[in-house]
Amino acid sequence: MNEYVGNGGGISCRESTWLVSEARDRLLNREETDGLQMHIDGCQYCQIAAQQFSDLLGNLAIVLARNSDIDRKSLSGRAGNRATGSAEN
Amino acid sequence: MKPSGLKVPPVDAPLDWLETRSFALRPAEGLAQHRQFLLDLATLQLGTRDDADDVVQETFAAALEGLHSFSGKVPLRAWLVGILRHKIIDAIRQRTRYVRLDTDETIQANDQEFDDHFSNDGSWQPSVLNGSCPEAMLAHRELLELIEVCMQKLPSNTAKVFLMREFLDLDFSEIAERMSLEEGNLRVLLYRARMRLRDCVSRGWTSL
Repeated sequence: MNEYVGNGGGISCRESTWLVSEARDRLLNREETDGLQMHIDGCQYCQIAAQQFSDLLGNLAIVLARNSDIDRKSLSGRAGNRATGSAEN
Repeated sequence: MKPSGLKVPPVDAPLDWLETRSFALRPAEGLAQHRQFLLDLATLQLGTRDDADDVVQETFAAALEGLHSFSGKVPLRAWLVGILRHKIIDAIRQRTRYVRLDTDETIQANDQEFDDHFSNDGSWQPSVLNGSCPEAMLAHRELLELIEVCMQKLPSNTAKVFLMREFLDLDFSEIAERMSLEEGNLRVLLYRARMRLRDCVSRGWTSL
């Protein structure tokens, strides 16, 4: 996907934004997860950016009522099929 | 809970107690306030106003039927959006084919758009980070406006696939298939939407 450059965790800030985005769509593999975590741990800018992404995207599920009562009870079938584990950064 | 019998908010009343109660008393008015928003959202996904009208009608019918289950824990709009979501997904899945995305926008999809966000070695330019967003922006009501921002500020196809993913919660591969998009292009469109919306958070919704 991306060429890794020599920064914290072996990835750059820019590459970390890709991983943060893709973590919403698929499970990151171990290498990606570790690289992302290591980079964010050592990068104050990415900590800010990660918080912003998290504020934005992490709250979408609540905002969009994906897990509301009616989602689960009144309308069967479609809810909760997301791999939420991958969405929590 | 029977909102119509309440005279004062109970101790554990939801923040939207007032909205909850007035919705219980005058549901048709409550629904009407959100009609345009729901129509816009449905039109973006379904492509035509007629189809959008249908799913919004169905949403209102389901909402009236399920009045008792509206707890007020989420804003009324969020609750309606939650119902609408299912109606849109049903409508999409009943279709045998999907309208292709405008190719220009898709072909142009690339990540050079954010070159000014990063230095040559891929590090963040601090100026585009602007610190964290104020707590107030995280309130449900404000975040719901994110969808409106998204619809207004993002190119329509970008907004469409972003909401297919984040709102309709369709799988990445299902979106790619239904939109006849290569996965690489879809990945870029989603990235672009998220990066742009992060910009919004960073700058504040009003200063887009």
